[in-house]
Amino acid sequence: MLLRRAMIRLGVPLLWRRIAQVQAARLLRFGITEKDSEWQILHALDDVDDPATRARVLQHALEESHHAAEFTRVSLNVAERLPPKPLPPRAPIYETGSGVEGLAGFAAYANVGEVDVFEQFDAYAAGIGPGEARSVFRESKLDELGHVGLTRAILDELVPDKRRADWLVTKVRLRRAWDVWLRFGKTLGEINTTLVLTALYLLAGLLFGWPAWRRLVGEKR
Amino acid sequence: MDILGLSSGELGSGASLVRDGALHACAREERFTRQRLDPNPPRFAAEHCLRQAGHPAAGLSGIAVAGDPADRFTRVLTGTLGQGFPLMVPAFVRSMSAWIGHHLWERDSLSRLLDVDPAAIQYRARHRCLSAAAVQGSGVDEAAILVVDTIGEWTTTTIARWKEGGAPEDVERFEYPHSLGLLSAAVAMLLGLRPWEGLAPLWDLAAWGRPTLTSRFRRVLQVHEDGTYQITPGFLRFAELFEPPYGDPWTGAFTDLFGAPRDARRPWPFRAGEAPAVVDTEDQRHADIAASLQVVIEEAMLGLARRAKAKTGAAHLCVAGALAGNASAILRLRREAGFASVHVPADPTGLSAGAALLLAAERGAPLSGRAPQPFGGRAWPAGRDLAAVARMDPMWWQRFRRRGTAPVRDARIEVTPELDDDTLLAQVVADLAAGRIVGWLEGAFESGPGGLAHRVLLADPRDLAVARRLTERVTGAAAFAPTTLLTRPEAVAALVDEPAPTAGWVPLAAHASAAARAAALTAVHADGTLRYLPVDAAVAPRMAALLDRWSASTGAPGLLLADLREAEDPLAASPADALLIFMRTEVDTLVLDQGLVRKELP
Repeated sequence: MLLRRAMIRLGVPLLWRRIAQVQAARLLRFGITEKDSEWQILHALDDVDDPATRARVLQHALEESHHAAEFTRVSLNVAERLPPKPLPPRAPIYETGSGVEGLAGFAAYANVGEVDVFEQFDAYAAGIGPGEARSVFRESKLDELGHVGLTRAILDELVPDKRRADWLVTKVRLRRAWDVWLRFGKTLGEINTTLVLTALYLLAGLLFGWPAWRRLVGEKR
Repeated sequence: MDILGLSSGELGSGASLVRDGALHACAREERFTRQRLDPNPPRFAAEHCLRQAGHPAAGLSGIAVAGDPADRFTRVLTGTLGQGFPLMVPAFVRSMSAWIGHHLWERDSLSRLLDVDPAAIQYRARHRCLSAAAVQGSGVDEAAILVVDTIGEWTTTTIARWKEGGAPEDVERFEYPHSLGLLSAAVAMLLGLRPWEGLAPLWDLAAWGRPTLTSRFRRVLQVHEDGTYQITPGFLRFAELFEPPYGDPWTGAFTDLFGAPRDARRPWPFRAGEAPAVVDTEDQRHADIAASLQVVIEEAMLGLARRAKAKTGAAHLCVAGALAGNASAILRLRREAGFASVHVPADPTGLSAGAALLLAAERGAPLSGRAPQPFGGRAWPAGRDLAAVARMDPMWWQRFRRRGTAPVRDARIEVTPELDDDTLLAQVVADLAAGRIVGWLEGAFESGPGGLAHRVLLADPRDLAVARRLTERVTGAAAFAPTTLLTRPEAVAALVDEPAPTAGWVPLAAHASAAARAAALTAVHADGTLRYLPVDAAVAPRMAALLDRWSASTGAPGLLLADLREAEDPLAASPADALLIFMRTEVDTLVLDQGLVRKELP
C-alpha cells in the first residue's frame, strides 16, 4: 500500500495534471470499479432475506452507485474525447447459494477492499489539484471509511468468533497480495506481447499488406 | 427439442432458449452484470436460460453460437494489415492481444462455462442468425430479409429470402469494408458519441440538422442505381473499431470533408418538444453532418430494399441488424420500397435468439413469423426489497439524488407492500396527472434492448416540464432524443397519418397527426414523426388497463415511455436495481409488482 501511495504521489504530477485524457480514463476506471462494488453487493444480496440486513446492504450499494455515477460524470467533463470504457467480465466474489460461509468470505473481502479503496482515494485527494475530481475523491473516501466499519460489523455478526473473523481478513489480504503480484506479471507480459506483436505486424505488413489491401479494395460489394 | 443460442460482441452478449422452434427464454447479459452492452461471454444469461429449461446444458439438443471465429479472424488480420499500414500498429496489437487472450479459446471457455463437450458447440454465421431473428413477429409466411449491420465475420449487409418452415437462404452479401453500420459508428465518434451506443442518438440528432453535406457523404458512400453501394477507399479505417479502446476510424481526407471531432463535453442546444433556441454554427454544422448521413443511409437502405424486392419477388420485407433501429429509414422503406409490409423485430440485433432459431430450423423445427413472448427475462420477488426500503432513513437517501437536487426536510418514503390492481392503478393515474414520474417494474424483464411494459418510466406526455425532468433528472438521455408514446392500438389511427401494420412489440415511427401534435406534444420529434408503441392487452394486461384508465381520466392518448434506467446503465432487471434508480433520481413513484413506493416531498 505504501508503494502504491508513493506511485500515486509520483505519477499524479507527471501524468495526471498534464494529460487530460489520462485523468478522464483514470476517473472512469474508478467509476467502473465502484460500479463493480455495487454489483458484487447486489449479487450477494440475492441470498439475503432479512429486511434489516437488506436495508443496510442496499444503503451501501446506493453509496457505491453514487460514487460510480460521480466518477463517471467527472470523467466526462475532463477531456475533449470520451475516455475508453473497459467492460471486464464480472467475476462474483460471492457465489450464489454458498450460504453463511460464503457471505462471511464476501464480507471479509469487501472489508479489505474498502480499506484499500480508502487509501487510494486519500492519496489521490492529497495529490491532485483543486477541482471537481478532488471533491469527489474527498467525499468518496469518507463514505469508504464508513464502509470499512459496516463490512466489519456484518463480518462480526456472521462470524462471532473474533479470531476466526480476523483470520478471514488475513486470508483475503494474502490473496490480494498474490493478485497484485499476478497483475504485475500480467503487465510485464503485456509489454512483451506488445513488442512482439509490433514486430510481427511490421513483418506481416511488409509481406501480406499488399494482398490484404487488394482483397479489401477489390471487394466492390 | 431445446436449443441454446449464445452471442457476444460489441452490441452486447446474450443467451436464448428455443423450445420446439419457439423462443422460450431470452436475456441479455447486461441485465445481470449491470454493464451496458456487455460484450463478454453470457454466463449469467445462459444460467437463466438453463434455469428456464429446467435441465443442465448436457440435456440440450444443441448449442449454437453466433459468429464464426475463423472467418472473423481472417477479416481482422486482413483489415489491420490492408488498411493504413504501417499506422495501424495499435489496432493490430489490440486485436491480436484480444484474439490470443480469449477469442481463439472461446469454444473451450464456453464448454467449461456450460460443462459440455467442446464438440457440442456449433458456430453459425452472424448474418444468418440475424436473418432468422428478423422474421420473428412478422406474422407473414414468406418474406425478403434485409440485414444491415455493423459487421459480421466478413458480411456487413445481407439480402435473403425466407419461406415458413425453412431456414433463410442468402441471396446476396456485401462484405467488409463496405459497411453502413461502421460508417454510422465512425460518424457517431466524430460527433463526440460512443460508436455503438451512439447510433441511436446519431439518428435522433439528424432531425435537428439540414442535409447540406450530402454531396460530401456521397464521396465517401457511393450508392449505385442497381441498389448496391460501396465505401470509397481512403476515408475510413474501420479496423480501429475491431477491439476497444477504439482509435480514430477516419483518415485526414475524412476530417478534411467534415471537420475535426466534436468536443464530447460540449452540450447540444436541441431539446425534444421545444423549438431550438439560438444555435451556434458549430452545433448546427454537427447536426447537419448527422442529417446528411441520414439522407445517404436512407438512400442506401432504400436501394437495398428495392434490390431485395427485385431479387426475391417477396411481398413482405423483414429488416434486422444495427441499422434496423433507424426509425426514419424504416419509415421511408415502408412508404417507398414497394413491399406490402416492412417488419422490424422487437430485438433487431437478437443474435442469440437467431442462432438458436437457425439451428432449430436446420434440425426440423419450423421457423415461423409468430410473435415471440417479449418478456423472456428473469423475474424476482419484490416483497423483500419493499420490506427493506421501509426501514431506510428518508434523509439518508436524499444525499444520493442527482447533483443539483437539494435535500428536503421532512421528506419521506411511503411504502405499501401489497395493493389490489384497482387501487394501485387509480393511485398511479392520480400521480401521473399530478406531474409525477412513475417507475414501473412488473414480472420478468424484456428480452430485447429496451423497456416495453415491464421495466419502464411513465409520465404525462402533455407536460413539457415533466418530460424535461424525465430526461435531465432521471434517464440522462440526450435532450434532443424523442421519447416514445405508449398507447393502445385503438388510439393509433388518430395519432399518425399512416399507421404501420405490426404483429409484435416494436416501437414504431410515423408522421404525427395534428391531434397528436396537440395531445402528445413531447413525444413528437423535430422531424414531425411520432414514436409510438401500441400495448397488446393479451400480453401486458396491467399496462393496458393503466392506459385505458389514464385515457378515460385525462383524455390523453397515451403515456410518455422511457426505459427504466440511467444513462450509462442497462435497463433495470431486479427490484433492487429499480429501487436504486428511484432513490438516486427524480422518479417520484415506483410500482414493484403489487407494491407501491412513493416519495413524499413537502
